[in-house]
Amino acid sequence: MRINVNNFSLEIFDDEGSECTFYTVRVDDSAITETRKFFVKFYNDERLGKSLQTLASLIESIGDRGALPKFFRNERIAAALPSYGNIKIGSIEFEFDDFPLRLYCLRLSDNLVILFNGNEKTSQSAQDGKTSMVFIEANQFAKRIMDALKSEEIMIKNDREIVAYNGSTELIL
Amino acid sequence: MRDKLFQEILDETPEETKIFVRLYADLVKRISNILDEKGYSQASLAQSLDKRPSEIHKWLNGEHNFTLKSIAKLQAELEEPLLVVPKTKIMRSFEKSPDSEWHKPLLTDSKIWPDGEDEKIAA
Repeated sequence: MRINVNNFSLEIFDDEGSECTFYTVRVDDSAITETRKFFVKFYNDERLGKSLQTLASLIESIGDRGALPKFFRNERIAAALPSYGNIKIGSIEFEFDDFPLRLYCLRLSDNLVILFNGNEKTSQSAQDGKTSMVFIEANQFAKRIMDALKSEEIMIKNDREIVAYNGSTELIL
Repeated sequence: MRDKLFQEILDETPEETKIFVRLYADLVKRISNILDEKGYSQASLAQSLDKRPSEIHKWLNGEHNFTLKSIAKLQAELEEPLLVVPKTKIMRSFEKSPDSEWHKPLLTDSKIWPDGEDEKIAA
């Protein structure tokens, strides 16, 4: 079922890292945020639970190191975690090429990222398979947020905070 | 603040996974910073390493399979350490300094033997 991406609010998902704050979006009066939906979806999944833990650790690590572009893969206006590539050190290999999950987001700077929903990667292209819907929604959220920043409906304050034009932290778009 | 379920997942994540991801993130950040500081472009690095620009593009955009060999090559070219493996075990003990109420760390160096037995060099 498609969600209504026209009315949503922005709220903090994780601001405990020393370098980067993660926001998320909550659609209309939804009980949970879009990023919480992603984590709920795979929390007890026997097959993908470990990948979910890896992704959670990556978000935590980015929080303490800053959201460098190289941590993300571009998905039109939006981006996704994790990035491309593998790192092999001896027999230990970090395999992100075939990583089975994608979490969509919007990277605003090294210090600010807005996380959306995600899904299992089941096809070569993000626009196909299980990621198709969340990929489209992520780009719609991203476009709306970028437009709101351009029109100064919302603004970035002190590098790590998003506030409304009137200074309020209640961010309804 | 942090999303509660996210925190719960992190709490249940094995330490091995966290170390793995931190190492990956540190390596990506380190390479990225050095390239920026040294002003390397894809073309100049390709020329220095005698590689095709397309291959360097993969290195710089995380599409490359890093091996110990490629990390060594990159480290040699960039003249900056990327991975540092400690040769000695550093143990920190704390002792109250006589002229201060603060506790100063003292370094105790121990050599690590192949069988895992440590031999204390200095106390």
